[in-house]
Amino acid sequence: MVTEFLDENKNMKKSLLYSIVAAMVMLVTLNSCVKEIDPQTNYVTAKQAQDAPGSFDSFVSSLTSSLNGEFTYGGSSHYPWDFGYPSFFLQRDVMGQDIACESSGSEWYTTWYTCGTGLGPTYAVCQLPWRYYYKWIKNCNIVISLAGPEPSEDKKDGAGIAYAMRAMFYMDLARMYSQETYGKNVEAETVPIVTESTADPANPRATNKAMWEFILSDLDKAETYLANYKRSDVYTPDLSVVYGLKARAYLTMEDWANAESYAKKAMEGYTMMTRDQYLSQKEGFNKPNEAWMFGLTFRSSDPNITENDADSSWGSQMIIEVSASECGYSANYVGPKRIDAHLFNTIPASDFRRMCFIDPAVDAVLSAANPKTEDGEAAITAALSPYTDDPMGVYNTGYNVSARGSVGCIEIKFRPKDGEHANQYEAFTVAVPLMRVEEMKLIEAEAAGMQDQARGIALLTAFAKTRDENYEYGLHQETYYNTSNSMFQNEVWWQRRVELWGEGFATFDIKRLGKGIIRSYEGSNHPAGYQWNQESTPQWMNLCIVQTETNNNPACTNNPTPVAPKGDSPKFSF
Amino acid sequence: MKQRLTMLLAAMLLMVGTALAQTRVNGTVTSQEDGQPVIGASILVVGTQVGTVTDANGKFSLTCPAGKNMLRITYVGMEPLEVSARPNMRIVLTSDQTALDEVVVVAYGTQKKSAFTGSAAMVGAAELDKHVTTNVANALAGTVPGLQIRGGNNAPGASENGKINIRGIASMYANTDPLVIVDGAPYSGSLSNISQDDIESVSVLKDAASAALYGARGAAGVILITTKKGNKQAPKVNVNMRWGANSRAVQEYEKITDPGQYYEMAYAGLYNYYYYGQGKSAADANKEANSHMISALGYQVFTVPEGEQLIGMNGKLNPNATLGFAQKSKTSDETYWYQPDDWNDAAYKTGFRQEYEASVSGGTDKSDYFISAGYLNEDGIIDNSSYERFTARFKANYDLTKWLRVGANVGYVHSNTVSNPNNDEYQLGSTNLSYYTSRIGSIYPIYVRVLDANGNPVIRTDANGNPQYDYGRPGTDYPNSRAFLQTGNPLGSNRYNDLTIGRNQLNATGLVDVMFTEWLRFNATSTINWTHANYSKYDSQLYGPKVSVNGEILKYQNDIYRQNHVQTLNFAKAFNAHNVSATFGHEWYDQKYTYLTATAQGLFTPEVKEINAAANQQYKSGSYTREYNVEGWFGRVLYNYDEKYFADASFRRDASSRFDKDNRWGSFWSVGAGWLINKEKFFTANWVDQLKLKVSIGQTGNDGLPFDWSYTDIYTLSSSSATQMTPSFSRIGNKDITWETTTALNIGVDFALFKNRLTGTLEYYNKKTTDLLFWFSVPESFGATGYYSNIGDKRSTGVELTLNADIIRTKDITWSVNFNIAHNKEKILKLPENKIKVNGGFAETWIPWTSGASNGSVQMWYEEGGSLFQPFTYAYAGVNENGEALYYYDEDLSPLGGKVTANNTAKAASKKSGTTTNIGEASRYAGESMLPDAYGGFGTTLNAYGFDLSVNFDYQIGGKIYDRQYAALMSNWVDNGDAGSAFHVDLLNSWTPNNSSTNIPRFQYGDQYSVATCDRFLASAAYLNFQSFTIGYTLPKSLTSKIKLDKVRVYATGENLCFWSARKGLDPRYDYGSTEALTPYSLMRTVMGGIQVSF
Repeated sequence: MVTEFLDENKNMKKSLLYSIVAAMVMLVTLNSCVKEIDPQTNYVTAKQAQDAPGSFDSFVSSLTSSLNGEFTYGGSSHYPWDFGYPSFFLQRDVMGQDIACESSGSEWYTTWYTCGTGLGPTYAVCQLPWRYYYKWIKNCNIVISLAGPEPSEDKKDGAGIAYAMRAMFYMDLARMYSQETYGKNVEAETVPIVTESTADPANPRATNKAMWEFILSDLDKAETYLANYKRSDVYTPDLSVVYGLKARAYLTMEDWANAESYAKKAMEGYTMMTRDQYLSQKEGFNKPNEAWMFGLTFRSSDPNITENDADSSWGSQMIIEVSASECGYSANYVGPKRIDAHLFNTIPASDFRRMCFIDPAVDAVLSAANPKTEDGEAAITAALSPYTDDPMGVYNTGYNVSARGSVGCIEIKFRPKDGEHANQYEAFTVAVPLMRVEEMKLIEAEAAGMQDQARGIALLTAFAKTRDENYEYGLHQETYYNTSNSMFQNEVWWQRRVELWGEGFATFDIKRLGKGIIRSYEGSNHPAGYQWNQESTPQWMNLCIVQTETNNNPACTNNPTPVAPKGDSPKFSF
Repeated sequence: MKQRLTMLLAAMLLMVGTALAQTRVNGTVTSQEDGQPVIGASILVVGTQVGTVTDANGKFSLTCPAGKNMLRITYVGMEPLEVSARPNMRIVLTSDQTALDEVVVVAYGTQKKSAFTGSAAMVGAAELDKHVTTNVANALAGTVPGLQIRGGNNAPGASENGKINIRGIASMYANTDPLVIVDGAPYSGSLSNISQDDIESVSVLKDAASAALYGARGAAGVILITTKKGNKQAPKVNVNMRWGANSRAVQEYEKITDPGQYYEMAYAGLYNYYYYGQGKSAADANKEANSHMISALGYQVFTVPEGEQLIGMNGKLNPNATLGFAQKSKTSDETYWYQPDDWNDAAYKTGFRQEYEASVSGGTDKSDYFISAGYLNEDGIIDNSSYERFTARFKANYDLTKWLRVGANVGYVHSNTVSNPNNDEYQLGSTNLSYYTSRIGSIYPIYVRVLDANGNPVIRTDANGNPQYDYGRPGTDYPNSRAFLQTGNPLGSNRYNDLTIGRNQLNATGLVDVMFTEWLRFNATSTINWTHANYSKYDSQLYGPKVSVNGEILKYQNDIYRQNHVQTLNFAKAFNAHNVSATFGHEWYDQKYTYLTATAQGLFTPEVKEINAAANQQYKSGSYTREYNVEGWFGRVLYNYDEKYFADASFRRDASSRFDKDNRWGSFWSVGAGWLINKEKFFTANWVDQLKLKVSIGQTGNDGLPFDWSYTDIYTLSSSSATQMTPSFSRIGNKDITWETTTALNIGVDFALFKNRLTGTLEYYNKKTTDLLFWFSVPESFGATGYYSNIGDKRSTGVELTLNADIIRTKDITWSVNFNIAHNKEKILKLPENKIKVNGGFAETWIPWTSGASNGSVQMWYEEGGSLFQPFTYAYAGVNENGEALYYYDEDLSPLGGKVTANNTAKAASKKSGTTTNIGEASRYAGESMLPDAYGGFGTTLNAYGFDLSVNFDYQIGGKIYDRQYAALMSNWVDNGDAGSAFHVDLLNSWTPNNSSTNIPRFQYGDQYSVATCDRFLASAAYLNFQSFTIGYTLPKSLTSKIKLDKVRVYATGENLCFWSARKGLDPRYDYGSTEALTPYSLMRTVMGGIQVSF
């Protein structure tokens, strides 16, 4: 039996051996190369990116399209403040007094509002701006490298946009991180400058002087390259935006002549928002108009909108009139953002901007009305109709959602898209202004006035008259503990606080003007526990640098971790 | 059973010849164990070359040469027998109880255990039978020394396995999971897809010599799973049925459960704030604390007489308080009714589990086959979690000719999983049912209740007649806002939303074996594993956040197509006493994953959960493809001299698609040697049956990066308009990355003493991993946090001891005990200079991505010479005279020391210079490694008069875990955002002026740092787990044979029965770092009874 086996085997052996070896060789050669696999998804390798059709233009387009809409910080909807550039508006504005937050534990801006531990260098909140801004800067650097030192004609627009955006990012960073404004100390540290050629991880924080020189040099390049650029919408910067950025830069540098002249150049071709535009219930501050110089927009396909019921978006925080959607932090979970009661009270009744905020006087009617009855509903509707086309929704938000049980001082400046009140996915797909001609008017006025007060007052008055026919100069000059500013500058500051409320300027102005903050006063609507008065600019406005920077960049110093005040301050009398 | 694995080879290599016929004899060989014919037993006429093998019926016939009539009958795994030849013989072989020469499944083959020089643990079907698992990996913890399982979701049908570590933590940043091989092919799917009853053995390869043949993927160890195959015998049918229940094994922390006591506790914190902190009078403080408490908590669930406070001046609940609180609605005519509910009671239940398995196996002299079918249906311990699985397997081999053999192994699994749509165990929030119910204060209701016409509380119903759950949304639910995780109610979400997953998996292997000569064999084995999954997730249009869009339906499908092709050439030959065998081969593995999803909104009816029945079908869609490819060439030579001295060497050259094409290929190798001392002539201790010294050393690799393109810069695409995608920078790539290499030394002794009554293995290992795939940090201003680079070395060293003893071994009674213990130590040898230049080390939360740790785990300190898992926390220094928590500071790092202006918490403190109440001035200290000192398992088995009993325990000694749950339950309210969470009973012992000897800080509203992340919450990670028991009774053969059955056994069995740890509620098996991940399915308790029938 075994002999047979061996014999048969021998007969077969050679031919089989050959065929098997051949089969093996074949199998091997078929497979003998490990595949080179490229990603086939929503990310690509550098090579795939550069080989794609229209690659350079796509890179340029990303500089503005990535400003918002994606979860750039965390990659998921986990953090409702992770919606991009306008989140920083809120972060900065709640650090002062102009916005009164809710005291609920679900208020996502509490850390900035209450000087929470999250501002310390080991926390996500601290990492947030650093990650966002330096990712944006990295994208600018990529475009600048691709364009090269002498961009060819077809790359000039892209290079110009990249330089303009980079300057804008560094301007924000410099103002968020420096402990002293340029005007006060040119040697104060800002943040490390990372350009397309930075390689050394040991990269010290640039001084105000070096930083603002760098910003101006970028803006100069942007000005050159964008000279003939025509944009198709306001979501991309053009020459006017570069002028506007220069105006902002010179304002911070207190180079009044240049600030004035660039503000003037910037405003060419734009017209200020009218009362109807300002208070439009369908398009108020959610759609570009002739006053918008630069903006961004949430798109219906943005992860900020499609994920987590659109709750992790700008609209969820700032759009109040979506009670019917049962979604949104402001409308349905926590309660809306409100204007500081004192600031509201200083807005004269004749100033139409007052209508962006619900008058606490309305609460007298509302709290007496019984919404269960037809009469009550009619009374509520009548009282709120001047403000909103969704009176019962706003009533619900103010009285049921907000622990305050009132509608007084609720902001309705930022409106749901097209007046949609039920479907938040649509309501939150809004545009947000990044630069308006009104800001240029105010820079022009301030800069002019700092050279020649009379001219400044004239410009300011002209501006203010468009908001309040009865405007009189000299009624809005509260010092907020810093009496060294001129009364004129205080007056401009008040206009800026009212005109640009919620648009991200509050902290910058407080730091630039060296103001303190006042949250404790008779009738304050800041929650107990956070009614803090600070006689000098609060330390928490000088953001800490996250540990992932200082641990790996040995040349980088840090700002002190701020300490929250203990308990409410005695009431300030204005 | 497993002893018969090599039967075929034995039969083929049998050296028998023919001689002149003299006496014709015939007979039948059967096995004593089951009375079945033994096929392929060899019969040799002693003193001649004459012999034969038994046929499919166990029959043989041969002719004895003149003068020779002694037959020697041998069969692997049976005691050899010598009998005198005569006609019509009935030969009964008994199992070789003392057979040490088990066969070990090793890389690309099997080896005799005595010849094996590496380190492997083999868990056979008999051992697995002592467990009830849906996922076989769970049977390995405590059974295999050196193997640990952490985290993992054991929800019925969960797609991922627990995080398995073999001999420590293989890497700092790359994969630490072992490679799983099923029947020769890499298997990255869920082991839940393999029925435990189909598994013949699980082999865990722990050292380099055993794993080196898997090259680039073997560094974290290899788990080889072999499915059952048939024997060359008459068909044998096995039926196994069992029924039982799943219940909750996780314990609750000791919380304040009485609602009155809960209010008292909340009140105490506020009263202390107003009285001590704000200096108010006792009466004012009482009033303010009461009102603040109710407004912060939102809900009052007691009614007190008009004008009285809920909590009195004595800090106790008003004696006139009655449970339940009515509140008239402002916006309707309803009256709301508040009363607490028992959330745990509503969340957890006992689930029914049933399992049926039937198999038939057998063979002829040319073939063998194993056919099985199984059905499992188990209900989870929370609603909306169940798993139903059908399995079928066909495995067969057939000798087409004397030299050509083919085989096939096809397994098919279909499963339906119902998942809890609202249980995201990775997020601590309202979508995590377990977290939610364990943390909600004991005053909150599940439902919104109103008073009916008669004034009785009833659950409010919505327009559709469904009970209304309380999501805490003011106005929509109760008029008041609930403080605890507002807008969430996982129980409510479960009722309306659902998530189902249907999976199909086909695993098919084909093989060809060609015997060129008796010493040269070629094998080609190809395996296809195709998995298809269908997900469907529905968010209700009736309730919850998708109401405004009239419901949402999310569908996704994924296909995973894995192919593995191995060709080997095997050589085996003996030259006198020199035995040489060698294997050369090639392997190619490719995994392709495709994903397709769509989401639509606006459903017609909840009855039709399909996109075609939805209005907005363009809402969201997506697809992607991922692929991974490995190729390797390998060779192994095994040599022994006289089965006394053993040596082996292996080599593999591997390439992985995870690296740049210039850095793809790497070489891995191993050498091993063994010495069976007991076979030496000089060795005379006759009580020693076996004594083997073994040593091996080798190198394996790890390409397990969490991201497949870490070698190149990556850009994320996002849309800038409806027609344009734009790239933005996302990751820094490093072209130079390549494998990290683990060089492992293993030295061991295998012994068997006292007629094999005491057997065991003692092993020492030293694994050094070099060129770690390190997360190399850059300043985040570079636009990214870092990239991978091969920098850094670490080492794991340890010892493992396994002991098995038969204490009683008689015909009717055997009683054996087993014990294993493993000790492992981790040491960081080298770190990248830039990460430690400034601070001498670095702190990071990010620990190995496969370790099971989630974001937010406690930070660890990494330094050269240090261990892994050294917690980096503030150091608690007790309380001061005001009861405030104190933390140590180091004068060199804290501004309190006067040497620095900013507090430095990036550097590990060394001195305890003083204490502070301000965490902003405290220093952080690196603690001792949190890894356990030792871990393992023990158990015992008793067989007596048909009864069988086995119990198994697993344990861990030493180690720490950051008890995050406890820390949270011990937290005061820093602000109103903290209101509403549950309290631990230990808070009752907080510091007060009258209780100043305690170590627990005062419980006062507003105190920011009472529960800072500090060493106070590092709890002992020691535990003991009563892992499993089985008790069974096999009916006597005399009885069963009357009804033509071979075996009837009834049994009861249980898994995860009881658990002890340092603190009730703490389960250190979640993670090495902290109890961050929280899932009801960390482990379920399963108890079942069943019956096993064979014929």
